[in-house]
Amino acid sequence: MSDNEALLLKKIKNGDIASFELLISNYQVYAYNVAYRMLGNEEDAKDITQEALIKVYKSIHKFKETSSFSTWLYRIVMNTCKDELKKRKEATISLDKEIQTDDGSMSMEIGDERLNPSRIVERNEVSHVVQEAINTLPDANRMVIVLRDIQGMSYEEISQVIKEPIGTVKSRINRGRGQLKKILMEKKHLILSEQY
Amino acid sequence: MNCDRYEDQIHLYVDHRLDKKEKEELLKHMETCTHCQEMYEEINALKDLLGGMQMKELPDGFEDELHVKLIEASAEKKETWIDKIKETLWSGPKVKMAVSFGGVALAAVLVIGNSGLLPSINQLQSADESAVYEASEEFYADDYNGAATSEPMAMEMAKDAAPTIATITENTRAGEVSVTFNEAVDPIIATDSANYTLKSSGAENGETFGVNEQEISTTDSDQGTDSEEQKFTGRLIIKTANLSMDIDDYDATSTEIYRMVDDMGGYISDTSSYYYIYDRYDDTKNKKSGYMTLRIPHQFFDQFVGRLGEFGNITNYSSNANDITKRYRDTTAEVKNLEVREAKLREIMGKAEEIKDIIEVERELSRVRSEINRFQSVLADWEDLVTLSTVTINMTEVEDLKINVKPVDKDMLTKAKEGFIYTVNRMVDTMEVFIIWLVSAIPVLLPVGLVGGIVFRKLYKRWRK
Repeated sequence: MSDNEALLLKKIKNGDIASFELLISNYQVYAYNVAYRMLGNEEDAKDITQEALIKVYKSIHKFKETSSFSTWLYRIVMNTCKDELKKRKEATISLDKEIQTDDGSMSMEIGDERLNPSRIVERNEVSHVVQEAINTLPDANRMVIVLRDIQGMSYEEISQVIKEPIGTVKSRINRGRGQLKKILMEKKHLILSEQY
Repeated sequence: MNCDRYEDQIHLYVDHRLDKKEKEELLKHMETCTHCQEMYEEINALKDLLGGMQMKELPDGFEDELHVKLIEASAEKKETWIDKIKETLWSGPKVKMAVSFGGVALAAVLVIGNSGLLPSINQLQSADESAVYEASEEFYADDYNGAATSEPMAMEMAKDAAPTIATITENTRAGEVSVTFNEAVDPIIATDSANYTLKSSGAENGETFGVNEQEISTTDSDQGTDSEEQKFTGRLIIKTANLSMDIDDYDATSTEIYRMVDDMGGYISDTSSYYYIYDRYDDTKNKKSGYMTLRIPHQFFDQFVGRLGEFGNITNYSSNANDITKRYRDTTAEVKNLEVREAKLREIMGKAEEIKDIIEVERELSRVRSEINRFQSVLADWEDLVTLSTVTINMTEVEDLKINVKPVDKDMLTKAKEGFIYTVNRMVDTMEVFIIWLVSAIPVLLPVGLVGGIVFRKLYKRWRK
């Protein structure tokens, strides 16, 4: 941690918002990207990143200056994402189940998006395909993949962010990559058409 | 060939986490193993793919939005010390359970209090109501007094406040007397505004005569000075006294008091006594306790109360003097008014010929009579209360009167000791009352607690979500 950051932290602890904004200016884009890769859409990523950053601000007095601020920040972002994903799972709506209304029952239908041209373009973008593949990974594996392969963090850093031993990080990376590879192989044609 | 081990190594290899020896070993293996070679290429490609993913720019307005939220958070942050207290207070499910149980218990107390299991609240309420009632009574009495003494005001009153309660139209030519009575709801107002007009149409000129409040009031004030009122001139005061005293011999003392009451011309209206356990280890030491309600002629009241001190130690004394002069006079005047009205009705009665009319007048007469009787009995009660003061004595027999005599001086230690014992005793008493209450309230508390608990758990779960 630099002297500069230490000075900022002191000011933040006295409630200085400007100092906080200065401090996170280097990290918020990464935080946003982590959230985006974890959640898969920009809207949620924005909300969750902001929520996480507010949490960081509110609990800044709990931050121990001996550890790395970025690691601590990523941990809060990750935990907020985890909560959000948990919430999503609980709020899953069944498409088969009929909804009872005053006028009788009805069932849900999925909108037909195939004919939307911009969607088609978007769908064929490599990054979008990859993102969709990432979205299907289990949460724990997705976390390490995002941190390692997208954000380029070291095993040690990841271990600190998710508070798991390095051995666990290793095995999760291995498993995550394996799963991702399998999914992407099935969609190989989409990637190949773009890359080669 | 064991490739599983190498697969793990490949992941580490692409992440540059293998030392020189491990790396050489892996590379050597891959030269011969196409499977692992492919695997390496795939993982490497994947890593490139992921690593090459473009960084998403922050959405528009991200920082502004965050800034607003930060200011809000900053305002909240200032209250964190309150949160801290809350956090410590509310940490752990046990405390929450306790708090919720407390809430349920409180609710139960309220329910029981209302349903009358705890009578004190209701008593308080009824005491309030009676106070209001008394006040309103006085108000009516005031009104009446005004009406009775001032003639023009009586007229006003009759016109404004009161519907005509009796209209008697007499038609002598036709030989008909039509009598109409309008029952007024409030008897006081009814007597207040007794305004009846008797219209008697003469055969030729239709002469009208009326008897109204004005006349009655006048006669009233004339008569107001005779009979009973002469008996009770000056202030009319109901005196009561309430005493508690410790005595050394219940029977002897009560005999003594009875004799005194008899001498003064009073009587014993109520008495009751019982034995109580004085020393719980010695049945022979049981003592007598009881109370007596005595009626003493008012002129001896002070003398009697003064002499009671001779029999023992008076531990509690309260006396009350209730001046009812005004209320008494008002009621007396009311009775007078009703009597005049009764006389008038009898007059009408003599003129009535039709059976129907006779019945009507008869009914009104009996109503007026019962009203008069009612007021007279109230007056009689008051007279009784005024002439004979009421003294209630609670007497408790004690082992030695001197125990209750306070020493002139006490050192601090004794006082502290006494205070301590008193407090402990009070605590024990309170606990006892509470436990008794708790046990007796179980039939109510249990279902209330159950329902409350279920509701709380549901709310808590929802809140956690």
